[in-house]
Formats: sequence, structure tokens, C-alpha cells
Amino acid sequence: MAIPKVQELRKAVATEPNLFTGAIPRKDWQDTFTEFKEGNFAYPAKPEMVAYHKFPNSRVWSPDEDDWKLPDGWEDIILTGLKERLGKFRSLKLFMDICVRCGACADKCHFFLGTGDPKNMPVLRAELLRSVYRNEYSIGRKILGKMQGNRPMTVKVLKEWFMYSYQCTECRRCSVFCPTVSIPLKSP
Amino acid sequence: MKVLRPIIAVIALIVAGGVLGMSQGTQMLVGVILPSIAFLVLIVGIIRKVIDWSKSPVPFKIPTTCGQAKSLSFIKEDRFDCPTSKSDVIVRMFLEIFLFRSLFRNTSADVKSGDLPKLHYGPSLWLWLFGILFHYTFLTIVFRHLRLFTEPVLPGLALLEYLDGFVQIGAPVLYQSDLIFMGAITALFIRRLIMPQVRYISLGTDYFPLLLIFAIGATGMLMRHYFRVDITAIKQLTMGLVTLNWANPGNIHPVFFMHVTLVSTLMIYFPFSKLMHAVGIFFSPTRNMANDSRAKRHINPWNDPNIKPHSYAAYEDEFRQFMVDAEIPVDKELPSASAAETTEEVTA
Repeated sequence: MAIPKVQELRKAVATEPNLFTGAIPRKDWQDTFTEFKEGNFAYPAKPEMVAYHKFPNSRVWSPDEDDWKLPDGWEDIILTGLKERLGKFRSLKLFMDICVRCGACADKCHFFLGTGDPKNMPVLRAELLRSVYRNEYSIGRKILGKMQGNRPMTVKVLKEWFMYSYQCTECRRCSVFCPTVSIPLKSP
Repeated sequence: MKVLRPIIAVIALIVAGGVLGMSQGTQMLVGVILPSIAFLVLIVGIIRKVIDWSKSPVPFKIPTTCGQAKSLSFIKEDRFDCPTSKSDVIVRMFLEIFLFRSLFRNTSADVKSGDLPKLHYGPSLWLWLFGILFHYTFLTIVFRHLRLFTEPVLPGLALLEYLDGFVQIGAPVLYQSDLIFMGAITALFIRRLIMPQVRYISLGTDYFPLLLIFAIGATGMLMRHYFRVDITAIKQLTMGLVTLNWANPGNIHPVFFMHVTLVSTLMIYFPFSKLMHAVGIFFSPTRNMANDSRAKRHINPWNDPNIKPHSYAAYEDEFRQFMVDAEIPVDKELPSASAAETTEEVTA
């Protein structure tokens, strides 16, 4: 991507929905998947650094490769991790349940203003996780699955989490404007 | 279209309520049994959810700070945006819950065209306005309905009705709250459809409650102003619900049963949906905590004992060589070559 000029940026920043892909998304966000291109993702830590921090599954990998070399049963690891965190943080549990999707936070996020990528709206960034949460925990998921926009945990969803979690500085500006709660994104 | 399914669902509910409300036998089902169960689901559902939330601890102090914290005496403190005492937190919560203060702060980012398009931030109060109008008129309407569930009628209700019908249009009097309510809910619905950002994030479950509540308002107004339903018969039925002395006086218009079916659906839907924000807002740790972590120690109940504190001294011990190489100042110098020699001599 060529470096945009200030004039172009000024216009693009607030009028064009997606500077990254250069296109207005025509599909629902559930059907739009992340593209990893040189320069648009955070590099993973070196294996020795991961091991130094005693984090599991240290390996050489890159987000722009198709195979992320995930450990066996990674879906379970994530869902158990989510469950554990729901038990540890009232904030997480609450914010998964009560967001009204009013959109007040949307144009407050500097990542959204900067990139125009709709998934950088705080509400939608949290929705990436919330759709999986509802798929696991919502009582009406069997009947309302489609209407609630639920999604099972898949590699594509995980890749989305990776992309958009790192496009959050946890500045909590969204929380200032949120009528019900704040929604800082925590990635398992 | 994500809005299609909710529309079909609400129409189906209206039809079901109307059909079941037509014959004496099934009127009992939708007029008495359904609302009783729905009310039970509402209460039990809310309590269950509240208990579920309460089970998870709040490990960290995470109030959202929107202003200057309490500091030195000559620095002006922003008491309600960064509260340090419990009373300030209560004021903040009050402003939040009764005046929707966070939403009042809303700004919108847009582009002012000119020679150079310029990013512009300005206040945007429409969401706040329609939101607060909707919530307050809904509350007024719920209060007005208490007339049907109390005998003698609660004191103050007559005054409320008088004030609400102050402009005195039509007979029976048209309530202002009804009009504002219908207008506000329509505005909130249209907002979801026409604002591209909000439409993109909206799910079926966002449209459904709006449509449902709109249908509740519409059937309610039809009952009062068009069908002129038999209010004494309805009061007999509703008092039967409260006193558990179930009765169906008959001769009630089917539109009443549509209304009741929709309201029951709302009550059943409430505890399992985003509508729980009405209760959740009280639990929100970003708003109900005081920003006093420097004055009072906040204990994390599940603090992981395996995570040991890493002091600066230990950190420097670990990385001293790297720090010296990068010319970062260190507290303790590397053991120099000459110093190493002298210690050797001493030990020798």
C-alpha cells in the first residue's frame, strides 16, 4: 500500500469505510474475513521469548501463513479459557450480556477513524468475541442462533480476533461514551 | 435482510394473540396463563442473571476515568467524572441512570467539505434525546398501567394521568407520553436502518425488541382510541391476575389479547437478552467503582500465587549486561575487571 497523502487521508478517514481493502463491505461482518498482508498485522513473538515467559506452544510462525501451527484441541483451550475468565471477571460476563449495540462508541475509536474498517468499531470488535460467547452460553441459541448472529469457534474467527485485538490500545475512550458499560476487549 | 426475521416474528405473535383471543376457551390461555408464566419468567430470570453476575469477582479497580483525578489541592478535581469517594460515585451513577450522561456526551465525527476536507467533531444528541424520551415515556406508561393492577387505585396515578393528558385532545384523552413513546421508538428503529455504521452492527436481536415494543404501543393505542375495549372487563381480568383469583369475564376484544401476548413475549425475552442492560448498568464496574486505588488497597481474590513479584533490583540483575551494552543507566555497576582482581587477591 502506497503511503497516502494528507489530503487523501483527511477525506478517506471519515468518508470511506475501509482504507485497508479500499472497498465498502458489501457482506455482513460475519461473512467478511480478515486478510493478512505484509504490514497490516502484528508480528508474533520469537519462540525463545514465548518460552521465557513460560507461555505454551512456542513456535516459529507468521500470521500471513495459512497454517498457524495451532496446538491440538485449540478450540477447547480457547473455550475453557473463556469460561475461566468469565468466572474471574464480572466485567467480562456483564459486557458479554448487556451491550445494546447502540453504536455510540463507533466513531470514538481512533483505530476506526484511522482505518475506516468497520470491525474496528469497539462494538463490533467486541462482537467478534461476543458472537462466540452467545454460541456457547446464550439460552436461546438453539432458536435464535441466526438472529443473534452467533458463530462457532473457527480458525477464521480466531484470525479475526488476532487482527482486531492488536488494533486496540485499550485506551478506553469507547467506555467514556458507552451508555451502559465499557467494552475493553480482552483476548483469551 | 436481518430485519426480516424480527418482522415475521412480531407479525406471527400478533396473529397468534388475535386468533387465540377470539374464542372464550383460548382467551384464558393467552389472557391469564401466559402473562402469569411470563411474569414469573421475568422475575426468576432477572434474579438468576443477577446471581450469576455476582458470582464473578471484580479483581481490579477499573472505573472509567473521564476527568482529572483527585490530586494536589491546587489542581481542580473532576468529582463526578473521576469520583474518589462513595458519595461522588452515587452522584455519577445517578446522572448516568436518570440523565444518560454518557450518551449526552456523544460526539460524531464527520467531514466538513471545503478546499480541503476537514475532519470535524461535533456534539450529536439525537441518540440521547430519543433514548431518554423512549425510556421515560415507557416508564410513565408502565406507571399508568398500575391502575389496572391496584384496587383502590394507587394515589398519585390520577395526577399522573391528568398531567399526561394535559393537552386534552380527543376523548378518551390522548396521552402525550403515548405519542412521544411511539415517535421515539420509531426514530430509534429508523436510526438502525439508515445509519450505515449502526445498520452494519445491528443484529436481528436488535430489531426484534424495537418492533415488539412498537407493536405493544400500537395495540395499546388501538385499544384505547379505536376499538374502545371494555375497560371494566379488563380490570376484572387484571385484578384476577394480581389476586390469583383468575377470571375471564368474556366480552373482551381480541386486540387486548394481542397486546397481552406481545407484553408477555417481552417479559419472557427480557432476562435473556440485551434488555438486561436495565439491570446490568447497576453492576457495571466501570461506573460503580471509586477511583481510589491509591488510597485504598483493592484485593484480587484469585490472585495467582505462581506469579511472583519481579522487583527492579532483580530485573536489573537479570539484564545488567544488556543494559550496560545499550548504555542504559544502572543502579549497580557490573563487577569491573579490576574489582574482580582485588577480591581475588583478598581471598588469596
